[in-house]
Amino acid sequence: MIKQVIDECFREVFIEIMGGPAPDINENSVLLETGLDSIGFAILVTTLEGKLGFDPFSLSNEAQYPITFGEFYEFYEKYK
Amino acid sequence: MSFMKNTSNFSIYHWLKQLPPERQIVPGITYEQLLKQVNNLSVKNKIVVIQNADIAEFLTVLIAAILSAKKIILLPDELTRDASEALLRDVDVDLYINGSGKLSSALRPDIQSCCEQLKKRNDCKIVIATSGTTQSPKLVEHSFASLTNSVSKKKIDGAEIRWGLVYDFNRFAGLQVVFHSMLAGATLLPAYKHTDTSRLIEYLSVNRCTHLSATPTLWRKMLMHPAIGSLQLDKITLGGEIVHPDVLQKLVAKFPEAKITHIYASTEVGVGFSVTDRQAGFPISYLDNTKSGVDIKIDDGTLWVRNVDSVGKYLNDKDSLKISEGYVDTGDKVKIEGNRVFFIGRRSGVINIGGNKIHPEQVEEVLLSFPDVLLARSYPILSSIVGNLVGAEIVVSKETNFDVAKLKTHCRKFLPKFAVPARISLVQNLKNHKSGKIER
Repeated sequence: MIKQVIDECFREVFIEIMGGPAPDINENSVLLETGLDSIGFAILVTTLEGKLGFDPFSLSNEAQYPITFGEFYEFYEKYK
Repeated sequence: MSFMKNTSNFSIYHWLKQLPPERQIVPGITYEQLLKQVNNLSVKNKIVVIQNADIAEFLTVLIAAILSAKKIILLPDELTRDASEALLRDVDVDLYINGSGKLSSALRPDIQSCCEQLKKRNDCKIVIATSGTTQSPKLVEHSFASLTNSVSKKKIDGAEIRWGLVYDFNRFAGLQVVFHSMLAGATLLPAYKHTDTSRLIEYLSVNRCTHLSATPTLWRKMLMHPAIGSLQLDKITLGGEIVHPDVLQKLVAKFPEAKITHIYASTEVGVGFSVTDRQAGFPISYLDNTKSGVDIKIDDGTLWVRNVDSVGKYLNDKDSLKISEGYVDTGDKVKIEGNRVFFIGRRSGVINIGGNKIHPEQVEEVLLSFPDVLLARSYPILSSIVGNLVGAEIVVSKETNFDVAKLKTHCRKFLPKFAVPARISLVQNLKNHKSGKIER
């Protein structure tokens, strides 16, 4: 469920910010190497907060940030 | 070897001259080679402007200027010719050094050299531009003393220190890194051209970077990169944006041995103070003693800083800095919670997006230039990734068929990317002050 929301939101934000179709992503894709820049990534996180009602980046006490999409999905699952 | 903080007895020339001859100031250039260039540059009692220089030219001119010039003005490369000319309208510039390769015209090999006679002279004014974005920046006058008052007095042997420079060296934050590196006799790694995080980390890793200063936003980007583990950092500095606990926490976990410091500084007041306890905000005890040689106070929810070394004035500007009993109004709003003081944003409403700043009025002007937009208000949205994003509320004449996507496209044409509103909401009305201004 969360994965779906994230994937859909990523595609929408990518098209809006980068002006072209989003690349295919999988669990091993690196979050910041999809071509979406850091402002775009920040917009993705803010948009997800609007849709899901929370932002794990501001809630988390984890030792590290997610690096791949797989870790990103888990990160959101954990704090939902 | 130590760098003496008391600048009246300090000679940057002697300091650099006694460094081991093989020590590199930047990769490929030794301190000794650079000093030879410095000796060949005649800037005695001149007002020098530098822009579009490469790092070696910049360091040569900067050191020569500190030794003997009257004033050196550092202009950001992105400033247009018209904007540069406007800023310098009332300044009698003696020497304008623009662009790589132009330095040779200022070199006078026959003059050997002002530097020898003026080895102890440190009264050159160093003028830096504020970070105006689309608005014109202002020039702020500093001195060597005010810009180096945060440099450690402890004995440092910079043989093993390699400072990564990710900031523009013409600006305050970059210049700080330059001085920290140079006054430790360390090697400076010019990394500012690498905007891609992979390349940046690779460059820093290959060049064995040990000390790095960056914004919280850039640290987050690097911490979200798989190659972050290739860096071995001894000293980590954060500045330029409000530092939140999350990024400190992740840095501590990734670099448990590193000294982690966040700095409060601005182009206007110079270096204020630093915080080393790995927590956000600063201890309330700093209101009595910052331990950094500057005094601070809170007045009406805003932080004021008194830096005795700072010249603290705008060059050629009618609006001088707001100063009371030596304290400069920083415009930074703060709140006290328990034993800690936290930053909450700018009183002027300036929005800081990952270190890039924009006035809400500039965003509103662009929004209002779009057909059917009657009223507009722009404001910061908190972002856990880049500190703030830009948000906007608009009142339109006809809500049916109004295309927000087209409005965003319009904003992209006239605003820098970071300033394009991430969220635009249509509202029925916006509150006005009695003055007619939109309420913020």
